[in-house]
Amino acid sequence: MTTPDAGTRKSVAIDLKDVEKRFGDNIVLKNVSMQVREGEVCAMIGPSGAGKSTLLRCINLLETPTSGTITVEGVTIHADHQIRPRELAALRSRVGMVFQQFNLFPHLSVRRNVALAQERVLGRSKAEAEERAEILLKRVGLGDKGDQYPSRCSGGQQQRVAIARALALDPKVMLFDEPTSALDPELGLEVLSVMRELAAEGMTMVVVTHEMTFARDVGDHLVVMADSGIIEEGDPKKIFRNPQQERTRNFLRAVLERE
Amino acid sequence: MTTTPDPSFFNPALWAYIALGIGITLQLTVFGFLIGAVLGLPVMLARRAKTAPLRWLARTYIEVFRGVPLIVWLFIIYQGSTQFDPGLQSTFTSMNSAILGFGLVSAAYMAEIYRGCLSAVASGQYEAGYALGMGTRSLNRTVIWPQMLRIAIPASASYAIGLLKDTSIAMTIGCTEILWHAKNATGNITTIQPYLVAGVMFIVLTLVAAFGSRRLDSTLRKRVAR
Amino acid sequence: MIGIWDDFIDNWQVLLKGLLVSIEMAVLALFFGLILGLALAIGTMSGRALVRSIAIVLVEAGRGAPALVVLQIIYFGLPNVGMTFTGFVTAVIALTLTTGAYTAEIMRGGLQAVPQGEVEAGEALGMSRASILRDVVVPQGLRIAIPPLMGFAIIIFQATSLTLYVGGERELLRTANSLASQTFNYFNFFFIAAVLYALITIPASSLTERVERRMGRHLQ
Repeated sequence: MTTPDAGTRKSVAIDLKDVEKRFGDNIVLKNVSMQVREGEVCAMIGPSGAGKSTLLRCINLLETPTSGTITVEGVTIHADHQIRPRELAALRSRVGMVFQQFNLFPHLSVRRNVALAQERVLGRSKAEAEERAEILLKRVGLGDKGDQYPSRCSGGQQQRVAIARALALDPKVMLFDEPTSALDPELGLEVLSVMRELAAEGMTMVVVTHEMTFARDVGDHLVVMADSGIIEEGDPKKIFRNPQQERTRNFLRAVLERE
Repeated sequence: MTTTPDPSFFNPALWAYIALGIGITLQLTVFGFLIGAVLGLPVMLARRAKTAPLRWLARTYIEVFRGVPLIVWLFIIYQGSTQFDPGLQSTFTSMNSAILGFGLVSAAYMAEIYRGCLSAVASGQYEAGYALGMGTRSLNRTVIWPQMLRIAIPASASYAIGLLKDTSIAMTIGCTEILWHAKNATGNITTIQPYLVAGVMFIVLTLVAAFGSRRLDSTLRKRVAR
Repeated sequence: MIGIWDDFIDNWQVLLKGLLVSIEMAVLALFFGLILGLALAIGTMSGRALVRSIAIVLVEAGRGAPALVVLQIIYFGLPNVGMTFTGFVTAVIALTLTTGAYTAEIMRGGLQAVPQGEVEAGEALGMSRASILRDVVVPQGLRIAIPPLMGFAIIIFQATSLTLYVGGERELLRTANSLASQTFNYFNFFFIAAVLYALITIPASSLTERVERRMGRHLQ
């Protein structure tokens, strides 16, 4: 498939080769291959059940592919070999993830949510971790919310805390699994604007989303998935204007008509 | 005088001897549970009664019979009766006292189980029924109670299995159930092997009962759509 | 009446002492039993099949065997393997084992009630399984388990009455029983014992209900 901007040959941050995932007889991902370059924002769209989330979760091995190879920032994992905990930890330390349901830790304050993994995984001291947490919370616009508990925050605020929590581990790549799907449109905008800033700063991002405006305006590389495979891939602006595949046309027509 | 078998864990005769108590164990469980299941209904209804004294009576009954240990009830009934008239011994035999005790306590627990099941039947059912023009009485009969009883079955089965284990307490007032036979088999020596046998028997009985109740529940789920 | 009050007045010190011993027994059994229960609960959720199987077998055996049977086994069994303790201690040991098995199930329920998404978030952050358990699952899971654990505490307190012939020399029912056999006023003394037990369990039950309601509201 075509890769965007042949002029700027940045190195490959994420390389998925022939990833297959089956649940019993049910094939959810059919030999999917995909590359994401450094600094690129890869937006994944498509109908429900296409396998977008599953593919995303294969990147940091929350789903283990049945076969295939996953390479993230120099760490390679072969699905058919026994995955060693150290390889898994190395891969996950390079990847941050933001979930549709936020998945914050409700019994910890916002600051502790952002600081905890820094202490446990990176071995930072409590003081250091909380200082970093404050910086990141300010960056996502929640500088004064450190002592609050997640249940007292709006959905948009919780998701921004989740972004800060993932960023606190200095990942090279950020994965977003439908980050705004559980939010009211206004609250979703706060989150999307943080994501835009992140993209502008050069973070490599893979975003599964239904937000077509975001995909078109912020995405560098659009991946359209349907029926467990990639049906179309390339420059989002080009694809939105002139989709090559019938399926893409139908999907885009249905989606854009609803906006 | 009958000699009890050699109390070795690997002696089949020991197992057979202790197994003689299974019949009594089951009788205690079944009769105790039945009394409780039947008596529990009026107690539950009384608890929801409109008249305050009745409500208070039911609540007190439930609190007291659940709050006092089972063995104390058995002692009160079996031994306590002899304080008044030693002749009562023939009415309050070991078995009768035990079944009465288990029945009264079970009624308290079952009343609470029924209460929980009734509130579990969605209140929306009443509203839907009223909207369709049904009266409370017929609603109760055709819609609420069937669902309530169906929900009550897993909770009741679980309670009955617990009761089966509790029947071992009856050995303290002379009922010849499983544990009584185990104690008898120890004879004069302090050995725990008969008790291990008894333990295994109870474990097997409860596992079998639990399995059976799960099967019952899934069959009912197919019959009565949840 | 039939002299219940008189019997109580004549013996209230030793009866209350018995109640205190029962409470003591229950508290100790709960303390050690909960620790055992948490270990077993985590064991039943382990990724390693051997650990999981052993934990499940221990829990099922502990829950399947009636408390009275466990008491007999410990009371008569320990001296056989050379461990002679006082009756009180053997009773506590036996009740601890029973508590461990039952609370393991209760706590496992609580731990599994913690949303799986949070566990995934921890994994995505690279947290180790131990760390996820310690920092995310156990704090929340135990909190969820508090009402049923309180309910069980009341049950174990009632179970101390079972120790009367197997180690519970000074506990309440045994005391009542001795007094009853001396005076033949069986009903009186067992009635008094019943009241004393109820004095603890009934308030404890309503406290448990209140805690349950408070926690239910908080979760919304």
